[in-house]
Amino acid sequence: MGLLTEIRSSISGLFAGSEPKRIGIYGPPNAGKCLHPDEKVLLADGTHERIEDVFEAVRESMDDPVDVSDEPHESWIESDGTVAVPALVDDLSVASQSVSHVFRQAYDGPMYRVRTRLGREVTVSPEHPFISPTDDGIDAIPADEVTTGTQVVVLSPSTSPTLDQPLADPNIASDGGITAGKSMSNSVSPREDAQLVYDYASADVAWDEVVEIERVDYDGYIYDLTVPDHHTFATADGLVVHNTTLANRIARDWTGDAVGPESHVPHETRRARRKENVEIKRNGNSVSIDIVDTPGVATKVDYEEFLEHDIEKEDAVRRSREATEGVAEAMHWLREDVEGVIYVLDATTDPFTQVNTMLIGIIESQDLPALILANKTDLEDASVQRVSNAFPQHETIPLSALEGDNMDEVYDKIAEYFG
Amino acid sequence: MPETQHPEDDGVQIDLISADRINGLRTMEKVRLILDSVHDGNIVILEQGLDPSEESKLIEVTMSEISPDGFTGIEIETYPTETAAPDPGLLGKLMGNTPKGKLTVIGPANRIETLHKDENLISTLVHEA
Repeated sequence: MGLLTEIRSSISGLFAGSEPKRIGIYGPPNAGKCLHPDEKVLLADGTHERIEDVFEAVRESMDDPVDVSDEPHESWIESDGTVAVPALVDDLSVASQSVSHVFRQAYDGPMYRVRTRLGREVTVSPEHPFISPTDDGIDAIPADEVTTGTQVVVLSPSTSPTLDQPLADPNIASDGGITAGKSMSNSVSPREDAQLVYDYASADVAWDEVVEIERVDYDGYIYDLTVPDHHTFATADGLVVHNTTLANRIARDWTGDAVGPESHVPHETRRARRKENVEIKRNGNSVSIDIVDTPGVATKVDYEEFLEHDIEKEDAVRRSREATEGVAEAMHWLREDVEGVIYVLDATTDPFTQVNTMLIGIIESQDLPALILANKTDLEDASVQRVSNAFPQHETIPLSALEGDNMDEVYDKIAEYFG
Repeated sequence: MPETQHPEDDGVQIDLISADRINGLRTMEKVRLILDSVHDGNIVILEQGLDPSEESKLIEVTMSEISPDGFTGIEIETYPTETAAPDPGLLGKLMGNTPKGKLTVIGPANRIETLHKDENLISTLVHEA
């Protein structure tokens, strides 16, 4: 590794200059996590707002508001920090944290309406994680993996004044369409509910239990908030959800603006996207890079895969066409237009795939500095060793983009490799 | 590639292409040779495979030719020796000392399925058209 690192350093040195390096992020697509527009988000002052209204408020507060009249597929907007939410901290305490960005994405596909024993309800995209206690500690579990009986974290009544009487608040009632806000549990009276909430509340958080999950079709905009550091926020009735970021975390961490959303749908990141001038500061130095986020590279795309995710044929055809164009673009850029590569591998799957082998070979043939990230280390069956064994000629950096684990080392290495 | 002779029965045509045949072609000629055969439902076996840049072009062109209810892409397998081999180093690469390609199997994604692959064996199942 020493020699290779020296070679890479030499190559990196050739790039030295004021112009940002174009760094391609290649690897499997990950996940986007969003809420239905009618979902109400708990704010740090104890009030709550529809997430769509939070998005609009942030947009309108900009000196030069982003024009969304042409209904772009996705919009990321930096917040001026005036919107703050109660965020769950690692030690299960709750801290007020400013929202750094708001996000809106057009989405046509299934959503999950999750109800809890105490009548909490939220409608989220399939990958949107809930915070749940497991045998291994506190984990983020995507909605489509939540089952009846899953324990989920809620903010305790002591955390926010609105939670003192959340179950009787008529303002949190459903407002039609795909319902949002709260619905009462039929089996438990409001008084009993409130008592249970108080009984559960030993600190800043309590637990509630999922009792019903309903899959609903949805076609419209979905929303998310970026909460730096703690990456969680809560719905109006205290249900804690995760705002996780994945490959986009790098861009968001340093510019607040994502390269693009991704989702569970195969090839959801269908077009390669660029984010320019991502400035990463490490150890007093500043590294400026342009990020090229690419679709998961494949040698085949079958539109019927989309149909399996309840996508209409016409939309599936469009998505598959975009996916093929995106992969073609990504391959072209890899040969012609990137100066370094971050290759993100799923550490829970076999790295010895033909696509991985070919892509690493292509990257090496281009003499591009390459950083391999073994992602999803938060999952039990992740094996960083398996990834590093597969590509021993490259340094492998473990991370959990979901949890934000080890991102410091990732940024150190980005600065080292691409600086 | 000579004009493909389609057999009367439902057999599978396998084109085994020698390194000599491939080496005399430009990148796009190689890609077309492979994809034209795969479009016909054939299995292509390259004695010496493609170099990484050519593989990249093959993926790019394959993507451009995928169509709904039609061509869904390719399945490609080669011995996983390239990246596991000792790196030739910058000097080696400058001297053209890049690893040679290995035997490669390419077929229509909807017909070929890899059953097993290791450093010495690729086992594939070819479905009838």
